[in-house]
Amino acid sequence: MKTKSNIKVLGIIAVLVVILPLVVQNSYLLQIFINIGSWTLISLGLTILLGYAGQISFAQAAFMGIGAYTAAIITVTLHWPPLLALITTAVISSIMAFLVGLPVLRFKEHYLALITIGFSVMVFVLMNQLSDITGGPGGFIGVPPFSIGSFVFKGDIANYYLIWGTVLISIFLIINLLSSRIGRALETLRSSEIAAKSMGINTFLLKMKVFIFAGVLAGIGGALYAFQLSFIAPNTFNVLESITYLTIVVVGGLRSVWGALIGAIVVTVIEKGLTHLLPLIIPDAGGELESIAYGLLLVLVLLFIPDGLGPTIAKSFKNKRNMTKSSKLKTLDQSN
Amino acid sequence: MTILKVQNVSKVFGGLHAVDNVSFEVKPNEILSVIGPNGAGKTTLFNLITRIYDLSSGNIYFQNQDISKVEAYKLASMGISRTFQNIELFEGLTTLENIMVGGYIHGKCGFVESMFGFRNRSEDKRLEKMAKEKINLIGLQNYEHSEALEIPYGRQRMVEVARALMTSPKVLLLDEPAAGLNSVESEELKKLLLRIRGDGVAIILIEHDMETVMSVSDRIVVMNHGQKLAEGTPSEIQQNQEVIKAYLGEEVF
Ligand SMILES: Nc1ncnc2c1ncn2[C@@H]1O[C@H](COP(=O)(O)OP(=O)(O)OP(=O)(O)O)[C@@H](O)[C@H]1O
Ligand SMILES: [Mg+2]
Repeated sequence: MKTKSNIKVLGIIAVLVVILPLVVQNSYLLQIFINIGSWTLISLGLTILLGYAGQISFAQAAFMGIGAYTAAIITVTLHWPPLLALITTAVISSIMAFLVGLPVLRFKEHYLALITIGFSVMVFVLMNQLSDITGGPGGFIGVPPFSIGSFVFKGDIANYYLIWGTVLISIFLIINLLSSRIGRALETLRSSEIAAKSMGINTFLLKMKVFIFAGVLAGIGGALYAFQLSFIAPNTFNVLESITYLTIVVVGGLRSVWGALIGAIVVTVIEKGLTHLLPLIIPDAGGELESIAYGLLLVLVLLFIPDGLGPTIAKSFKNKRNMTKSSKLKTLDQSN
Repeated sequence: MTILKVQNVSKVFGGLHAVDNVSFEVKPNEILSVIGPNGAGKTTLFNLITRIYDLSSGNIYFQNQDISKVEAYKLASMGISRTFQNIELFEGLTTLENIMVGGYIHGKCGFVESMFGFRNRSEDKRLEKMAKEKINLIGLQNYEHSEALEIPYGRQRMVEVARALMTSPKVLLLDEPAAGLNSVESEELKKLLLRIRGDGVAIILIEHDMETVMSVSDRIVVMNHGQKLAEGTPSEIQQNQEVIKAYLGEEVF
């Protein structure tokens, strides 16, 4: 039931995604749409990891960085084709996630949060220090666009479709996952891990798989980001950026496949709004104010819509439908 | 013949000997009750058998295999299942879904395969059918689509039993299933227990309701202060002086 309606919604979104660039031919807006797609992809795994497995990861930005640098180094330094680079990215992100998760995912406590902060700092330092390979703080220039065979994803429109195609496929996979026996097993992690184990669920392995999946999506997101911009620098993958991704899933709603997408849209709108509005109100406002605004947003959402926007919207739709149903019944009663 | 053997098992919490050198055996096709005053160590014993806790010492054998170090999640597919005294149902899932989780080990679709969704539906249908059989067996039809944690307390205990049965256990451990049941429900529970035993499942039952214990048990193990105080048939236990002393002041039999 729920799966079917989710697939339906996904279909509608797919149609919107396809026609959007045909209608909106403004390169600034297109850039924003690409950005929303990237953020969605990088946050997607987090909705399951945090919403179902109850584990916080501050490493989404680091995984994005690992993906971006892997893609850059493999295509530019090793001259491998981008498709192979993308596959390697997925493999390397999953190995990294495995190694990070291994010592801590056995525990229900928030050890993952701590280790992912440490991991992110380490990745950030390495990006800056290994300048022979990474280009150091100045960044890495000249990443080629993505290509499959002779088809090159050159320009904004091609990259827009590339990223959104990946987003839609990923959401499709997650919808399926959540509606399976594995999805039900995921639901058990929050409420009772001992009961889950008693039912034969290897909770450690399950959390590990979710963490790896989240890491791979972020890694692929990072690689696509590198292919699209052709230039990457360490700052984009700083641990503080991970807070943006956490904000996205909390605002959009945990435990909802749509959480990441909704959150990415809302946070983008707010971010763009702030960059335009803040200077009007406070002329010499800097980036710190934006961070404060994010923090404020996070607190407000947690206070007033703790479920996030996604589930809240879904609930109000349901209520409305139930209301129209019951009012229809009433009219039937009266006509009888 | 023995299906489960508990041998010199102990559990120490800090300085407290919650379970102290306890041994007993369970035969297939029997209902063995574990009774004893509050804090006697009954639930801890269950947590040791089901590997929620590590043993401080001793060994546990299931079908002659030492399971003292086996990981908890492997026991379900070996044939050991349980319910919990403090209800451990899954939040946000309906009764049906909770029971279906019990069938997890009967499913085959893995993480990646599930994403592509080719077999999800057929597998779910099979698990749903199994779960509905348990729902009918136990009489939970009215609560099938309600959120499990919102149905009456006594019924939640029955959902736990149904969920445990879904794993197709050879040994079923029930921790106070009659708590919170009214007399009609208790009668139903007794019938259910006998029926489960009739299907060839051994039951270890922790229960304070002596009426239930005395009428369904084949044998009884009595615990007090972590130790095994007595073991025998219901009539032997009712006449045992030490047991009567342990329960002194309480009119239990
Ligand atoms: N995780 C734990 N840590 C420390 N002490 C514990 C723990 N679990 C149980 N105990 C202690 O071990 C003793 C035995 O507890 P247990 O729950 O096994 O008793 P019980 O026989 O099941 O009692 P009841 O009939 O009240 O359920 C108690 O004194 C309890 O406080
Ligand atoms: Mg107990």
